[in-house]
Amino acid sequence: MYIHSILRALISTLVPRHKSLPPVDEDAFAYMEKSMKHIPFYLRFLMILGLYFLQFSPLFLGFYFKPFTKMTPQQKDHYITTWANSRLSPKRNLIRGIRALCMIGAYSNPAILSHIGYTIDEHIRSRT
Amino acid sequence: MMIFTGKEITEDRRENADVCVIGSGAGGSVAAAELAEGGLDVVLLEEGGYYPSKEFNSNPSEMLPKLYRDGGASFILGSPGIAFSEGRCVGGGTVTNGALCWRLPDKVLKRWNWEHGLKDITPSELNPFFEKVEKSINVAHQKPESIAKGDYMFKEAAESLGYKVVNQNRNQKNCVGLNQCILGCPKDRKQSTLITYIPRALEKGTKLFADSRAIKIMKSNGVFTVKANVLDRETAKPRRKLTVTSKLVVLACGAIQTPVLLIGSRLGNSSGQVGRNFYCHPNVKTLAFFDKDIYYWKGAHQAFKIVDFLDAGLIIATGGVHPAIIAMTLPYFGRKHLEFMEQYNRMIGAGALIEDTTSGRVIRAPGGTPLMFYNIDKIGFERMRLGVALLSEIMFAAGARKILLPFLYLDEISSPDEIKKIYNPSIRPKQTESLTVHAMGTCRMGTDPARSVVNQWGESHDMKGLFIADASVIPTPIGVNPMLTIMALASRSAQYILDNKRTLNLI
Repeated sequence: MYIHSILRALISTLVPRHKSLPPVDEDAFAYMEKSMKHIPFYLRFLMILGLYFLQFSPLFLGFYFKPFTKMTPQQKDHYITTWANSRLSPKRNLIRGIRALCMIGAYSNPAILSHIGYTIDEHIRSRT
Repeated sequence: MMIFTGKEITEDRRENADVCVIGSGAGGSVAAAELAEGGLDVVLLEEGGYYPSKEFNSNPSEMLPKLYRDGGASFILGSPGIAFSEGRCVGGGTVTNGALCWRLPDKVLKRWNWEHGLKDITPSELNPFFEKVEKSINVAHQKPESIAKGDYMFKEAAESLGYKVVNQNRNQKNCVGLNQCILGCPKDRKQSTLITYIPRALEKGTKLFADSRAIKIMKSNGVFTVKANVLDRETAKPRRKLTVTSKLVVLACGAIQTPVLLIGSRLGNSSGQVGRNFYCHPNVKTLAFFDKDIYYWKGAHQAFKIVDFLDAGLIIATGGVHPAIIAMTLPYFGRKHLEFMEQYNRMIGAGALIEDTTSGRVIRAPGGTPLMFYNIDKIGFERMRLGVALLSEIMFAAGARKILLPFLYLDEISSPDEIKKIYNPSIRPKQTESLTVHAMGTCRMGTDPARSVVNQWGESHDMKGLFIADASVIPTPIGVNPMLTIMALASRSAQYILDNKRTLNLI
C-alpha cells in the first residue's frame, strides 16, 4: 500500500540508529501496524490524512520539489525537524503520535535495550 | 471459576442474572465481588482480555496492546493535546496503574457537599469503605529495600530544600521493586483487582465474560437487557453476540466509555450532563540527567510524595518506567534520540499531577467511539509551570546537570538559574507536552437531577436500578490518584444495593 511506503520512510527517519545496532525499522513498523488496528478510527483517519499531507506538501509548500519518500536522508531529517517543531499543532501532533508508536516498537528490541544498559530480566531474577 | 474468554464463546449466548456489572476495573470488580458475596447472582462483562499474571512480561510491544485501550495511545483533543492511557483488560486500570492509593481529601468532600448537595458523604461515613478496600488490596508503604535509588535522591533533595516528603501508600504485598507495575506485575506483588476482588467475585459464582463489549442497555417491564459484542481479541471485531437480562445494571466502564454507552443507549441524560464535566489531571513531566549511573528502574518508584503543594493543586513525584515509555515521550528522533536514551541509566523521570481548574467533554462519535476534548485554562497552565519549576529545582538540588522540559521552545535547561525561563510569557499552553492516566467526571453525582446524572448512591436519577460505579460519578476534580476513591464509592453503592434488595426488586 502507498501509505505503507510513506510510513516506512518516516519510520526510517525517526528510529534510533547506531553502527553497532541492528536496524529496528521493522520492529517499529510492526508495532505501528499492530497499533493501527487498535486506535480509534478518527485518529487513524487523521493519521492517514496527515501522512499524505506530509508526503505531498513539499511539492507545493516547501523548497524540496519532491515528495517526502523521494528525499535524501538529510532532507528527510530536516523536513521532519520542521514538522516536529512547527507552530501548527496538527503537524507536531502527527510526528509526536507516530514517533511514540515507533519508539515503543524500537525499544522493545532486545539489542537496543541491551545497548542502553536495560537488563530487566537480570533485575527480575536477582529480586525474586 | 467461570471465566469465559472470547474464543471460548462459539455461538450467540444469553445470560440471566440479578445484576449485570459492565466493566471489571477498580469500580466494577469491587461492585461485582461485594454484590456476589451479598448473595446476588452476578454477570461481569469486560471488553478487554483476561490475562493471568503468568502471561505478563516486560516487553511493551506485547503488553501495551493487550492491557491498554488503543494500545495505550489514546488522545484527548484540545490545547494542548493530551496523551492518555487507560487499562482495558480484566482488572482494568488496577492492573496497569502505579499502585498509588490516596484517600479522598476532606476538602474535596466539603466541596461535594457545597456544590452538589452530597451532605451525607462525609469523611466519617466514607472512612469504613476506605478501610475495607485498603484491607482488601493491602495498602501499605514500600519496604525500604524495594525502593529505587532515584526515589531516595528525590526525597533527600526535596527535604534539603525544606519540602515535606511522606511515604506513598501503595497496594502491594512484599513488593521487591521489579518496576513492572505499568506492564502488569508478573509476580503478583501489586494487589490489583485481578488477584483480589475478581477471584472473590468468581468464588461466589460470578460469571465473567472477557472480550465482551457492551453496546446497548435497554429496559422494559422492569428488566434490563444488556447487548454486548463478543470480540475477536486479535482484530477487535465482533464475533458473537451476548445478551444479558438482569434486574439491575452497574455501569463501571470508566469516565470515557460509560457516558458513551449511556448516550448510545439514550439513557440517563435528562440533565444533559452525561459526558460533560470531564476532568483528567493533566500531567507534565521532566527528565533529569546525572553524571553517574542511577539505574532508576531497579526498584519501586513513586514511593515518596511531596505534600506541600496539595493546596496549590499539585502532586509531585518521580516515576521510573520502561525505556520504551521514556522513549515515546522524548522530543527528539533519530540519532539525537538515541544519544539521550544511551543515558537511560543516568536519568530520573519525574512528574507533576495538576488538579483541574477547568473541565472538558466526552462525546460519542458515529460508531460509538468516544471523542475527548479538554483545553487547559490559564490557572491550570500556571500550575503546570509551577510543577515544572519545582521538579527542576528538586532535580538540580539532587545533582542533575541537565533537565529536559515539556515545552516545545524551551526543551532543556542546564542550571537552577535557568528555571526562571519557565515563566517566559512566550511559552504557551498549546506548546506544552502533557499526558494523563486519570479520567473522571462525565456522569457526575449530585442531589439535583437537573445538574447531575446519578444520586449519592450512584443510581441514575432517570432510571431506577441503573447504577454507575466508576470514576465518572466523581463530581469535581479531586487532585489525587482516584483508584481508592472509585473503589470506596463502588463499595458504598454495593452496600446500598444490598441494604435495599427489596425496594430494588432483588427479592
